[in-house]
Amino acid sequence: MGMEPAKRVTEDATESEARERPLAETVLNEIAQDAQRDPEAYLEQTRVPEGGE
Amino acid sequence: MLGRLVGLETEYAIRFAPAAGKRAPGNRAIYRALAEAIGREVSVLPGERRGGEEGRFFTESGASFCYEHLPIEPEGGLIEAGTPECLGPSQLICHQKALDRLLEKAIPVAQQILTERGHPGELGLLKNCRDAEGHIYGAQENYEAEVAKGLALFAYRASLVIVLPLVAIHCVIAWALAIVMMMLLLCVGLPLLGLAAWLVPRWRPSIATLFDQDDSRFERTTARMLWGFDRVLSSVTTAIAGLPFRLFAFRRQRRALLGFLVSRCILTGAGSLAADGRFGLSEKGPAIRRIMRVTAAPGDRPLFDTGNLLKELFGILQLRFSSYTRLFERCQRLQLGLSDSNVAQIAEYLKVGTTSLVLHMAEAGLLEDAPRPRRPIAALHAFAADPGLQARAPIVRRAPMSALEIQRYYLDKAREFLRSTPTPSLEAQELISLWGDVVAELERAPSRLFGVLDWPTKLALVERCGENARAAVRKKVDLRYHELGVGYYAALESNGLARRIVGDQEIEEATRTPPEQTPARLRGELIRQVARSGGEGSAGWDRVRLGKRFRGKVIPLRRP
Repeated sequence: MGMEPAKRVTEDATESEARERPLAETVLNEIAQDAQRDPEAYLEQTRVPEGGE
Repeated sequence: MLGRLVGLETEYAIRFAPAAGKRAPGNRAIYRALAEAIGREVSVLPGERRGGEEGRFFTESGASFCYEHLPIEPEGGLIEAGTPECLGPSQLICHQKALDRLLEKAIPVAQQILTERGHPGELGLLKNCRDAEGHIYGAQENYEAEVAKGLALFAYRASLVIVLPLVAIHCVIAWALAIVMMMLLLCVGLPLLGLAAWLVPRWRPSIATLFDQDDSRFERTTARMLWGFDRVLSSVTTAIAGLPFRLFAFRRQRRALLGFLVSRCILTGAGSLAADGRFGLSEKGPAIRRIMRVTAAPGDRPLFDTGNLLKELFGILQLRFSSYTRLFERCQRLQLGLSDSNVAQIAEYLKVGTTSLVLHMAEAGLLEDAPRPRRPIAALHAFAADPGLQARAPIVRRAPMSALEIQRYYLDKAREFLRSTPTPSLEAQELISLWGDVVAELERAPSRLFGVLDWPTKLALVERCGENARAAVRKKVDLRYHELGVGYYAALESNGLARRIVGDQEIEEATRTPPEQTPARLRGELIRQVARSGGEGSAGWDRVRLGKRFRGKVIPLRRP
């Protein structure tokens, strides 16, 4: 299993951040919008019954 | 250095939104549809029947799926997926992601199957540990480790012999109770119901619903009664019969690992919003109640879980005597109950990798001076509740330490160990370097680990909703973050905003290929062989049966 090098965690942080910022804004806005959509129903759908745990 | 057998067990919560005017099927029916969908994707073989498990099957990669539920809630269960036994953290992360991938692919197929069976709706799976009401489930980690050595090993084995009569008495009482209950049911309960249905026709529909296949109240009621008896009986016997494990099993490792594990949530926590709206680092951390398991009850919630060893001990109840004798082997499975389900690859890799490394150092006797929290569970709760990473916990014979300081201690020890090792593995070097980078970033600014670790990523998404966001909106972020394929972390990953250490091709390969040099290798090969020949068989963690039950050839699975 060839793993990608661990250095990716910190490499080129500034450069990659600048490149990713507009995309990140879009994705984060989409997530925030989705979270507004009927959250109560979502919480109910994902409820694990008592004892099911 | 990292070459021990490791494995992860993960429970996935089911989300089903029925189409307008339709009823949601029970989780059991959803599991059957998912199992069928997985069977269309890869070769599978049914699992050997074992009590308390339902619908277990193994795949050609050596992995396993089952439907896990308590007897009192047959329709409220979870999907449990177990990785094949892997040799080291990089193999494991790949196979864990392969399980996520298999389920992700199975979701639309299962949705179609359910629609054909009259249950149209939207299906999703969540890889998390805590629902909106605080019910806990999730992941467990397994590490092959030396159970004890020298005099402690002798004491461990001797105590297993001493508790055997108690286990045997438990088994006799349990069987007797089950037989009496069945007789009462057959000779009194069912005839009375039949008589009632005959005498009062208007009761017939209600009586018929008792035996409804989808929502069997009869099954739930009998299971609840048996479960009640079993819990009373088990709480006493497991508390005593579990003594060999609590007193002698993994003592060295437990002592050396304790400080590491209670502070590990700063690396591996999945992040969670508590009922009061406060953000914590870990989903499971706040629910951990004790260091070692005392009873077999699910609510015991220990950090070190001996539930797997207790299951082996009480395997006699199901006439599995080999499971008892296996307990005498020097190497056993050390199981950690304190484990969040990670969706961030690096968090999951660090979780297993650093723990394997610390275990290795503990077994080599290099952690004799490891920081030991005075009150470990209180320390865990304090660290898990503090995203500012400022909380300090009292330490035996030392000044109070923060989670970061404790992690720094173990990291420094690992670096020292690496320097003193003549030929360290490349993986260990990379792992320690990654661990060091992440700890340094946590010291500087945890928010820089967005897309690297779960809790800083989730925290940023929750904060993005704004301070005035409704509690339900923030909680939806907390939960949907974990949804396979369409969740918020998946969205970050597919847009390149989250770091990955294994690629799609490797994950795809791992859905079909068992890990080398492990018992899973032979299991996977045999499963493929049986599936291709169209023959019969069944698989287990320690053997595969080729052919029919009681008649087939049994092939034991051992580490090569």
